[in-house]
Amino acid sequence: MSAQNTQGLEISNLMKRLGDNAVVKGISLTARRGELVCLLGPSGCGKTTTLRMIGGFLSPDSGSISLGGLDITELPPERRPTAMVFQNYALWPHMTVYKNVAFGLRLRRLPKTEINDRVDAVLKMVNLVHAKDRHPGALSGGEQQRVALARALVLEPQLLLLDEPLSNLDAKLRVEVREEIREIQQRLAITTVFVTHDQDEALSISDRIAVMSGGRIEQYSDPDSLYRRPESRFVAGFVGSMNILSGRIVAGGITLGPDGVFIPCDDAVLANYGGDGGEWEVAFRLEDVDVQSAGGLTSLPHRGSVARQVSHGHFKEVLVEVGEHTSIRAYLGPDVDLSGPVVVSVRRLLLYRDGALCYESHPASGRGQPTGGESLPGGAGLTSSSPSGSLR
Amino acid sequence: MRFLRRLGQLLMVAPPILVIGVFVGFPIAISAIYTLGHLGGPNSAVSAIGLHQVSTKGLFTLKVYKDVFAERNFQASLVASVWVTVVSVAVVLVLSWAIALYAWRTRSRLGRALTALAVVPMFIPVVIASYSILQFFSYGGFVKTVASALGMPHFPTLGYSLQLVVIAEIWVSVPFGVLMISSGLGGIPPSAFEAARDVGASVVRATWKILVPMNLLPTVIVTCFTGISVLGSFTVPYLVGPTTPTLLGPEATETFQSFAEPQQAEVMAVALFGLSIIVAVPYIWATYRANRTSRAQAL
Repeated sequence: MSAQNTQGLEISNLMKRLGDNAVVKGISLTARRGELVCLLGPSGCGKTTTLRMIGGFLSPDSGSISLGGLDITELPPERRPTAMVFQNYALWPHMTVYKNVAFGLRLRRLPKTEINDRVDAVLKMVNLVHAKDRHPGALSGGEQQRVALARALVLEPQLLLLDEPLSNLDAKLRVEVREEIREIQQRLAITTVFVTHDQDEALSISDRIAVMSGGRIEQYSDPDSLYRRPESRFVAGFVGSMNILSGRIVAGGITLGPDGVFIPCDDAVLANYGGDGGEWEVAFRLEDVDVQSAGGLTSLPHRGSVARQVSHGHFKEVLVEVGEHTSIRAYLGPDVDLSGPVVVSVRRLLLYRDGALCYESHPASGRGQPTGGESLPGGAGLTSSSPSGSLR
Repeated sequence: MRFLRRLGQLLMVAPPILVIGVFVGFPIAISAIYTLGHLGGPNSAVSAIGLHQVSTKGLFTLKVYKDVFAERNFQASLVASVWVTVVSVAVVLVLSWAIALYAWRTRSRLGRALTALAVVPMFIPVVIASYSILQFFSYGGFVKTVASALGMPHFPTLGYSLQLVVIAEIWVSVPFGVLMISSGLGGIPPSAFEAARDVGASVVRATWKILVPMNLLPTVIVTCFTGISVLGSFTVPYLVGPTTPTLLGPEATETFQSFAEPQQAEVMAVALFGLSIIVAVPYIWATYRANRTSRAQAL
């Protein structure tokens, strides 16, 4: 089961029902050799079920899973070249750390010296040589997690499966351990599937992320694309912080929310298109919002006031009320002080209709472009207000 | 202050200890002395009705033990007791594990139904169950009737045999076994089993190497408690078993009541007690080990 000579993972049209509930609805996904792929999604989206089918703990109703060009769909877990790290680590409390790690090697009837060498090497890799003779109950959460990782890695699997392995750790330790996992994964070049519901975790360690919802993959792309260009309304709302409001396109910007508040947007193409007069779901990142003191410009229609400020140390999150029923969140520098009236503008925005991304603006060039099948028709600037916009 | 607190704690536990000491410990002690040849004092009443008693003017004598252990009937009953106990415990363990494991692994309706069904004998009085089992397997019973109807009039029956005692003991003990093993398995996360499969263990290997050690204490409890229960059982072997050899419980009762030999009967009780202690050793070891592990983990 060497990590060499593998072609990566290929999942094709995987489906699974549990009782009357269709949990996974035709998932297809590929992971290149040495790639770390995250399955990201809310509880019940089917990510763990998918992982368990890859590991052989569940049989798919239809579809196929192949690894290194070999179809493993029907193989039982013990015959798959995969190794899994479970959410609760699943260490065996009656065995020492050494025996936990060596168990799989003993099953393969390897010579004792080779078992010792491999266990020592992997324990060294995860910095647990000192805990070799301890039982899992005498280890901290982080150490238990590393034992579980060592137990998986010692088998040199073609595919490493991680089922929310950091969810039981505290925030600081979680960051440390995920960096260790990433470093080891890259060093060994093991194809890895990592299940998590934590977007920060997924964005920070993945080569590619599959965002799942309702048993389907909403988007499968690299972290940057996923963050900057979410292809569906669901992904836009799930990954990162995003202002999403109902709005209409008008000359020089957009009107948002039930108040029809005008927010300027420096996007020439958007202004030229003008819009079709219909309503869009307008999404923009908090870091794409400019908030400045209004000073004496009291006549501006997009004046607002800062309702709340939350300091995150190196940056500040502010909630700006731009209308009676419309608020916008923004990230600002830590030293920005906005006590009086403010004006708000948006540098970059995304437009969604029927849940799909239709338009993406590019502030650097002042141009945007329609995406997918739907384009913005030309027309005059619109100023009518939307009935249902609100801060999501 | 500390002394008073400790004294208060001791006073709190004193009543049950006194009750056990007076009503259990003292009778055991005088019975043990009686078997060693001391017929007077608290044993004078029972010795007044006993036949073939041995007395000593010295510290103690083991003559009664020698006589009883030399008797063929007793030897046969001792062997029968051990045999019935070993076989019953083994079958109870296998059945309990099989039912509990099936329910734990499949988590299916059938598994839950089997577990619920296995507990039913607990609610049926042993006397009624024993007579039912006897009627089912004995000479005029269901098995014999069906066999005769199928043209096998000489089909063997199990009525009043040690095999039937084993069957009845299994009936009595399986509910406790299933409850304990199921409860123990319920505390093991399925991922512990899956992790073993994941690193290459077959179902049998994963069960043997992971589930059994992780569920060791309930298994030992079932083994020991079932063993002690079968060894000391009276109703089942008395109603469905043979007259001789029988289990030590009925054997001692018969020696006491029919032969009026209380000293010999009490020697049999001491032998039974000795066997029970041997059976209890694994339980004491497993409990000590579990406590030591939990203490080590707490540190």
